[in-house]
Amino acid sequence: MLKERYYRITGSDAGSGHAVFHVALVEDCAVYDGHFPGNPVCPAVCNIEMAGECLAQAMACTLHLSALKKCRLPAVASPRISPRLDITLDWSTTAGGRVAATAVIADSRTVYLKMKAEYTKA
Amino acid sequence: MTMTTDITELLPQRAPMLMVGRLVTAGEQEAETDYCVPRGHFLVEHDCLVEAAFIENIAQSAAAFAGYRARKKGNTAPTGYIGEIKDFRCYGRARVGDVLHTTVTFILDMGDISIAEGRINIGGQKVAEARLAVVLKSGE
Repeated sequence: MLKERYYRITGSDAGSGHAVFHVALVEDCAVYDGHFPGNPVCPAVCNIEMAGECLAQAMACTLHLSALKKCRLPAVASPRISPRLDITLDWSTTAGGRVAATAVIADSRTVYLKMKAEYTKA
Repeated sequence: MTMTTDITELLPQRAPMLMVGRLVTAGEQEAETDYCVPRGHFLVEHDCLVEAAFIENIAQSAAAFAGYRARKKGNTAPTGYIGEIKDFRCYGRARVGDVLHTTVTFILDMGDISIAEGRINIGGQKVAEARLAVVLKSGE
C-alpha cells in the first residue's frame, strides 16, 4: 500500500528465503507533511510496513504482521539524508504456516532498522 | 486526572501522521489515549489499519504523555523517536471507525530515553501490545 507513494523499488535480487530490494524514498510523500512539519523524517511504522511489503512481494503472497520480537532503529532515516535504501530480507516458513523473517534497512553508511518479525499469510 | 488538552499541544506530529486523538487520562506513570481510525487514512487498506500502525499509536501515546508531563513542568512538548520495539504482538485488526483505547505505562526513565509499555483495546478486546524505548528530544 505504500509502494509508489512512500517508496519506489529501483531493483531487487530475490532467491529462496533471501532477497535484497533497492528502494528510493518518495521525497514529496504526504507523510512528511506531518512527520514532522519542517523536519521530514521517516516514520518507523512506514519503514516496518515497507519491509513487510517487500517481503510479501518476494514471497508472492499477502502477509499480515503478527509479531515483532525485536526491532532496533539505531538511526533516523529521511528522504534528504538517506534517499536510497537497501532492504535485506531473510525468511522461513514455520510448521504452523507462519513466516519468520529478519529485515535490515540500510544504505552504504548507516543501518536504520533491524527487525525480527513474524507474519501470517492472508 | 481527566484531560481536555488539545493533542497538538502535546505532539509535534500532524496529519496524516497524527495518530492519537486525545490524551484521556494521565497519572504518575500511566496514561490513556484514544484514536478513531479515519476513512482514507494513509495507513488504511481495505478499510483496516495496517498492523504496524498500532506501534505508531503506542509510541505517540507515550510521546503525548511525555508532552503532558513536560508542559506541567513549564517546558515544551518533546519530539519522540522510537529507538527500539520489543515484544510487539498483534491480536486483531482495527477497522475504519473503530476507536483505539491505548494505555501506556512508563516503566523506566533514563534521561532522554524512556521505556514504555503499551496495550491497545478496541471494544474491550486487546488487539495489540508492545514495549518501546522512546528517545525524547526537547526543543525541536
